[in-house]
Amino acid sequence: MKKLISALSALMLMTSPLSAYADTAITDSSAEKKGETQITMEVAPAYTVVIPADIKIEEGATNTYFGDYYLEKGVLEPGYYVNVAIDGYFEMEHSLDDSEILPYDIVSSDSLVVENGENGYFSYKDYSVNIRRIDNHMPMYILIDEADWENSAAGSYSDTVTFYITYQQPKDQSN
Amino acid sequence: MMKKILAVLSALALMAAPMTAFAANPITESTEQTGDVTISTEIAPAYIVTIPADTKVKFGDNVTEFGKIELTEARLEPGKVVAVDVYGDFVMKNSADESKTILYDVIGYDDMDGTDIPEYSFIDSSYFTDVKGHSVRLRIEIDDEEWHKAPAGSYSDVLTFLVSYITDPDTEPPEEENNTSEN
Repeated sequence: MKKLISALSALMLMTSPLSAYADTAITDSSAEKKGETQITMEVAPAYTVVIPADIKIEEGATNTYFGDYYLEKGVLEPGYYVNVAIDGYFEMEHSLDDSEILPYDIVSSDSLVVENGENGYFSYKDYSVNIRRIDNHMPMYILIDEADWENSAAGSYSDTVTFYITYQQPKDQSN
Repeated sequence: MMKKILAVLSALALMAAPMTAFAANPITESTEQTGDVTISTEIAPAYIVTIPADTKVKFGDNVTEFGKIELTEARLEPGKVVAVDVYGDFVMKNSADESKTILYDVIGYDDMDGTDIPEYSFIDSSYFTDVKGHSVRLRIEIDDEEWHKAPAGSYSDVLTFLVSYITDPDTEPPEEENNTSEN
């Protein structure tokens, strides 16, 4: 919104029926006037998050690299993060008999998200992750117990998980 | 590795001019983006069937234990079973004169799990199961008449145990008469 600075004086030329006045008029004869105009710009937040593609797990594998997710591009407001959460049943179902299941877990190293982390793992069943730094890769792994492999019938199994990406300001970061 | 990208982009908005550019997909705290990823695997069927070793029948015995058929290891698909058929002439032939023969039968009995089932002949029956560790005992039966008419000498026969991985016959509609035995 522009401020209107009117520079009017008692001297008004009336000889001409036409008079033109600028919003901010500064002339040689006028006392020095100052006019301020504010220029603003707004950059809308934007981000691009890369998540893994579909994966087929080798039979018997107890620990499979699933891929990384990361912020490929990001223009974020100060104090804001992109939150990555994974939702699903974490059970692969048999294609012929959905009572036959093969449970699994998706984990990442806690040292990547927790200061002084002990290189243990956290599960995406229980946690989501806030990311902010560009190109900071978060590797994920799919874990399946050996006993679950042994107890599973032959055949094809599959499951679909959903990655939820949200732009948020964590409560502990709010002003 | 090809990856799925969730892209939420908006245009820069310059406010210096009266004209304002708005993002096509504005991001607010309530905006949520999702992406689905499929996780799958394939477990190959596998099984091990144990069959009897070579057996020598004592002269004159009407019944000779013949070991067992056992599904020693099994990882099967739902609705599938392992079937065992025994093929042969069921006729032992004299080594010096093949015209001299002793007929015999192979009988399956005692499933060893306490199940009370009728005994059956492998001449016209099959054994099938989907249970790891399940087995059926076998015995060779020879009538007295066969022993009495057989001249001296060595007799032998070879039986072929054919193992196949099939759909459980109990879940299929019945076809024409087929003397298969359940286990």
